[in-house]
Amino acid sequence: MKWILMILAAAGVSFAGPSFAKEKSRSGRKVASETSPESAFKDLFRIATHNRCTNCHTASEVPMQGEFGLPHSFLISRNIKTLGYSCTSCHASSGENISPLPPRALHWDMPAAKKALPKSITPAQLCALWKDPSSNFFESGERIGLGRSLEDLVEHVENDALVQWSFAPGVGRVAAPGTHAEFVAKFKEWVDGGAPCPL
Amino acid sequence: MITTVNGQDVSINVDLDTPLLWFLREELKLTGTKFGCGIARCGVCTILVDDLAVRSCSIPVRDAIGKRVTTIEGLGSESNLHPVQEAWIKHRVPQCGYCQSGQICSAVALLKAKPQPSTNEIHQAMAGNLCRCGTYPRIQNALEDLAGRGKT
Repeated sequence: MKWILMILAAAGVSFAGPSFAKEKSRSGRKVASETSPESAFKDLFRIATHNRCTNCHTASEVPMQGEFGLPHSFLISRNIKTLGYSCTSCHASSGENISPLPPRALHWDMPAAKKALPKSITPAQLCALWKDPSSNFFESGERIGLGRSLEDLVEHVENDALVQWSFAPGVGRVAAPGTHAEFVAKFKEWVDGGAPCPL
Repeated sequence: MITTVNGQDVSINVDLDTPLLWFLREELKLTGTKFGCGIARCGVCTILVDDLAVRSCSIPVRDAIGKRVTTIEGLGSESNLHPVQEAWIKHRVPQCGYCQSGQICSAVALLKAKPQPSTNEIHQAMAGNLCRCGTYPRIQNALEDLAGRGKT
């Protein structure tokens, strides 16, 4: 197995997530990247519908957890705040992320149900959702004075602590596909390219 | 850095990543709060932070800076028990007692947030507090009593 890996590595086969860098031709000249806002959105759809995102971005009252998207243990639901608990009762704001300790990030909360990313969502529906001013408003944008816009959404995916956590959830947890930097780059590429929606 | 523990201002003199449980037990000698699983899955270490139930084994001291921490020692005294403690005695809830400081703190947080919880809400709020002795029916009876649906 070790020899096979070495051979594949020597041949330039990458085990990393999707690569967004421009590739070189055999002659060594840079070739035009095949990336486009449309292809960027395809990658964004694949990432956004990963369990690491949909676990909390649910329309259900109950958040999901883990790589299999199972209902959160302890009967946790949106109303837990009315019963003397909060997400931060167990999810700390800082420290090492090591399963089975509850995952931790600067803030921990469930997104509003209107921002749900159901497993059955289609690319067209996701695109419409992201461009809908009633659902692409983010508290993080509110804090820095942004309005309801795609720029607000970019601010969310770039700076929100929970989004960042999903790409580095720590030992013993499956991360969202690719890296956070790649995700942000794809998002900006899609937005800067006019945020086209699939038909 | 200061936090308030059971009404007293306390200076934090440990690494801020120290679990709150160890700060309470080892530094302040408040040993009424117990260690159970250490991964926030059993509820034994539950305390109150700003009136919310918190698993002190998984929350670092950092998250309690400037906040109001209450442990089982701060809820009441032998001569002036908290109503939840009185109900626990009335319904003879504890058996071995190890989980009970956590159970009581969860119950206090629930009743503070919702003085008359429904039976379902009691089940939901207490679901994260395990009891190996199986005192759940008596915990429920005590909470039903406190919610005004007493069964004697």
